[in-house]
Amino acid sequence: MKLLVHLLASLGVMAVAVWAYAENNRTRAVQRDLGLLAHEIAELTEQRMMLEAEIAYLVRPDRLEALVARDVGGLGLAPMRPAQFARADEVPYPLPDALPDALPDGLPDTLAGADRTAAPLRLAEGTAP
Amino acid sequence: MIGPSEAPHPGRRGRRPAGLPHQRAEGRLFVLGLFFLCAFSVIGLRMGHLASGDPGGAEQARRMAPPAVSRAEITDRQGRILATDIAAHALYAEPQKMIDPERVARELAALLPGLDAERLVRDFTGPRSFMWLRDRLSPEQVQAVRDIGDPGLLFAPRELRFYPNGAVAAHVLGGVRFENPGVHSADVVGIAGLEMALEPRLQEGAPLALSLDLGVQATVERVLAGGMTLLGAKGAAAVLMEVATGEIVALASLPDFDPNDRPLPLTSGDPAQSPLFNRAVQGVYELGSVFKILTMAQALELGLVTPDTMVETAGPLRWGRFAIRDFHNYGPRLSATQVIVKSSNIGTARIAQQIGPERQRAFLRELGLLDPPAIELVEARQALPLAPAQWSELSAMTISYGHGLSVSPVHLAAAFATVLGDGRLVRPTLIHGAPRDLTPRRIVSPATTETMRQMMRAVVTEGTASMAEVAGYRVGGKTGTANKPRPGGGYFEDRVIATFAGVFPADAPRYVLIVSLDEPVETSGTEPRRTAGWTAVPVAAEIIRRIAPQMGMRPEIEPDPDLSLSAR
Repeated sequence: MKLLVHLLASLGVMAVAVWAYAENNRTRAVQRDLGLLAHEIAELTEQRMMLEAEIAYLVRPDRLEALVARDVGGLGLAPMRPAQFARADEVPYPLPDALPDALPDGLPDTLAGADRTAAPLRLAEGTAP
Repeated sequence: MIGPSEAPHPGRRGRRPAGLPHQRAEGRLFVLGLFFLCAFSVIGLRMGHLASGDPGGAEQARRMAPPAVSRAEITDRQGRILATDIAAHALYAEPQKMIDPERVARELAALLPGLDAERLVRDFTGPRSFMWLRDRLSPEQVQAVRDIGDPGLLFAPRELRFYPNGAVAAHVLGGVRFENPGVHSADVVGIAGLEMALEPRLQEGAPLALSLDLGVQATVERVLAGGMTLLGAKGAAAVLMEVATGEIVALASLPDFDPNDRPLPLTSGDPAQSPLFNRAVQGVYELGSVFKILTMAQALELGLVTPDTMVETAGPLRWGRFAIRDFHNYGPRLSATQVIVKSSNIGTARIAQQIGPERQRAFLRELGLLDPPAIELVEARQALPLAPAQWSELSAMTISYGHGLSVSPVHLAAAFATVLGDGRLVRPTLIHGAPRDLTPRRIVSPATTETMRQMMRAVVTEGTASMAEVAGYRVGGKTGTANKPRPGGGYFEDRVIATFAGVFPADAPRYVLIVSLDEPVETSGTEPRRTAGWTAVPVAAEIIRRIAPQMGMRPEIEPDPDLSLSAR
């Protein structure tokens, strides 16, 4: 009986030792991966900061203004002016013939309403309060 | 010898006397047992250690990781980058490792401007074993140097401070330089502006958001530069401050510079003429009539006047051998409101006589006009206002209309935000969301701030700042035209500092704007005009016209004060 207990205990110790050893090895492997990951993160952070700096450089106010002055693509961009603000009641209603003759059947009211507001905004270009 | 009667005990070996050998054997067994115990203990302990020991993973990972980009990014209030670090390289040479020094010298000199081929040959073939060639290279240059392909040319990694917007907000950001250059890294240290004043904070690495708005800042600088060119001014400064928080949304000083390529400080002449000089913070000037607002606010607060109190304005007002004159003759008396609207020096000086020098000085000190501004720029620490040593009654009278006390535009912005906001002390800051004093000291009552707002609005609607009217934004303001002091004493007749100190919208102030021009002249008329009403005011109006929509403020129809009366 005593021998059996001793044997079992020894086997137990051995099993635990093997498990601990394997666990230790895994930890080391994870540590190595962690180091590599940290390196990768640092590299990516550096790249990200470089890209952000590049974006900031490309959208710097001086350059944007030069692009607007050259009027790339004929966008007609101009500095924002107080006159560009307007109240809803200052936006003129569309002329009757600017509306479609009939709204398509079966459209919910909200969608029809959205259609209606799209037209006057185009007509309102150039109006000022 | 051992006889049969003393036959050995079974199991016992040897033929020795019974007592002694028994003891010796036990002793040996004991030693052996002890040895085994020790050996097993060591093995057990080692196993336990291996199984349970702290792998120290986090610590090791930190050690293995290369240091992340260290210095904090600086952004504007919307997170747009104003300053960041990018990886770059410095170039150094180890001539002893060089294969063909003459070819390297020739190709380097052709590649990098400022290097002399003959001198490089001498350096490379001499006894030196190490020399720096460039403290930073562009990526193209790095590639070109690699293409030379000599093992004696080596690169040292550097964190390069990069200001993507060039000269925009240059005076706020300041600049950096490398210190302790090494082949693995170099320290980046702030040498001016915010970079120097907040050095410890920036070393921590977390991004820092400034109160500046990049778009607004760029617009202010552009309009100011346009006005400066048009009016032939030597320099200009502008400060835009949030009334409620004291946060500075734009701070401009012209001429400016590119912090990526910071010019060297002037070695001779007036440092105030250098583009490095921050006119909005370092420049202390006699700002002229804008000070009348502060005098009037104090008189109202002390109950010495009401807006309708009549004040003597017959001139000139003589004090000893000194005479105070007005720009025009405004008749024998004006109401307190009209003193501000017409900008009467005599009227203001009379009010200052009632206030007295001690109370005036205490009030200006409370407003922070006698100390360097508490703003996060290293230059601010030296921006000590110039006040008279003897604060006499005459000093009080001249200071009441802005002569004899020199302050910076930032000082003025904070003082105006205080007397036009809710009457509590406003401290200027450049940090967005900086922790503030939640119950700042009250300087003037809400009733006084309300009256001052109306007076400043009247200056624009019917007074000297009529060109500041921007439809829908209800600008209030005050002009100031101060002759520049001569270095030898006295004042120049034809050189002025023209200032506009404004607030908008005047009925519920959100922003204070200070615009100051150095020696402007408006020449569209028959004779040159230098007063602020013709110079600083139109520039300020254009700034408001451009930035108010940018900051999302929609123009509003002014509430008519008479309308409430008819509503009964």
